[in-house]
Amino acid sequence: MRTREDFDSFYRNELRHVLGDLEARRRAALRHTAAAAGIGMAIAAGLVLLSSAQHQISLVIGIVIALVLTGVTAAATMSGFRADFKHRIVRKIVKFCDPALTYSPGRGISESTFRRSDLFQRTPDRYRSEDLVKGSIGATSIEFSEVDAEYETRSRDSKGNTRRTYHAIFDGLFFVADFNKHFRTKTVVLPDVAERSLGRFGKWLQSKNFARADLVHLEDPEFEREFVVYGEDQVEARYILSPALMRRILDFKRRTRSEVHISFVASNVYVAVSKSRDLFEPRMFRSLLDPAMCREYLDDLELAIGIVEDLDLNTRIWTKE
Amino acid sequence: MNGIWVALAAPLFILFVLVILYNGLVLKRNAVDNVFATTDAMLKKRYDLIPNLVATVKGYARHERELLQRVTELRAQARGTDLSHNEEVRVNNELSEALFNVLAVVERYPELKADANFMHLQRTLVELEEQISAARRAYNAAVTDYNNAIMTFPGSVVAGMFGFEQRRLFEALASERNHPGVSGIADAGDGG
Repeated sequence: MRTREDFDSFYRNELRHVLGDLEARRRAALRHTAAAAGIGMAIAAGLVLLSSAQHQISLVIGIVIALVLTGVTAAATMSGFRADFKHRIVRKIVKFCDPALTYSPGRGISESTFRRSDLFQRTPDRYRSEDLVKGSIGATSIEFSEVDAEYETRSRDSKGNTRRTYHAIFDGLFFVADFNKHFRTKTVVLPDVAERSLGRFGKWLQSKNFARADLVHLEDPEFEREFVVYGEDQVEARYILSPALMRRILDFKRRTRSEVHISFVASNVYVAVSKSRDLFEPRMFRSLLDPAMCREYLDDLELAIGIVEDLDLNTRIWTKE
Repeated sequence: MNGIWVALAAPLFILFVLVILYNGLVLKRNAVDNVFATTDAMLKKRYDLIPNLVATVKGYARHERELLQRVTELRAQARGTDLSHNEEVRVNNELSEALFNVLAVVERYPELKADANFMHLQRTLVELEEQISAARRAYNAAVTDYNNAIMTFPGSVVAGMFGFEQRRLFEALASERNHPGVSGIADAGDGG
């Protein structure tokens, strides 16, 4: 890993002048959007004043025109800006972290990969993923991206109209890597909500979870408090989750300070880290010249790339090379 | 009238509870036996690997005859059928230790370290050790679960009636506590 000083000098030499350029575009984009909104409102006001009798209809038409004008301008100016930002800033930071990694802003972890992980049992009705980073760290091939998976519920209001609402299944960083040991069965490590809130009764409930494989009760009490493990094979689950790996997962969880889901399926390890904010996106209402922003991108990237080291995936002393 | 129903229902209810408890204990005992069989299967795999390892190391490391002799002897002992459960555990622990010593002395023989056959054997052995250790942990978890069930009420009553006996845990291996660890082997393996 590079040091903070490395990044600061990289920021000064490589990013700052590009950011200055992009900052001007961000301000212009905001100005254009504001101007479009102003013009829209003026048209709306004009319509209301000119029409004498049908105030209400002209008001509605005016507001619609104002909104469409603002929306179109915002979308046109900001999407170009966003793409440019990712191409010129985020890509550079990815290369700074590791030159062997590739970055594709428009692509993401596929929905089939997401579902194969078996981390979240609900099938997504709406799935979006972007900002794919892919490559090899030492002997381990990895890929990760931002994933937003949601399910839909429908409700009927009193007039009989159907209303669709979307609820999050997962929103955050989704990471896939080639695991360093061979295995045949599936093992899933989930945050232990039941045991944390209900204690022994929660543990009993978990053992009755028919949607998952058998409960695997591990000997590390701290790990058991934080996580619940389901596995198809009691021995293989322990072969994967060695005492050393359990400690590493605990440390990793502590550092992320968010919910961590991990599964081991078909020779791969899947890690899902929930995040409340968008990853690798420029902030429209914040100056790009604030160095803390780029450091935030670096932190998110290093968190993902660091999983290889955190889970010791490059130690290849077993039969899998 | 009600009294008759109670008189009929009460023994049935008690019988029902007994059956549930009994079945629960049998399932837990089967889980213990099942994991023990897995451990056994892995130990057998290791026995199969040893002659090949000894032959390969012998070709390069002529000064380690004593150590290799010990490994061969321990393997023969471990495969013996007349061992008690505790004896079997002890012999296998010693075998683990002796095997780690073999992998450690390899450091002195760069040609052996570079031998493709040996490298493959070493990886397989390290993997087997990891699997055996996982199987032991699984066994201990199953035994703890079973012992807790037969030692606490109401399982203890049923266990007493049907003669369920406590099982012993695998003790932590001296070799697992003291040997340089898998990482030491990794360094030895990657060093060349």
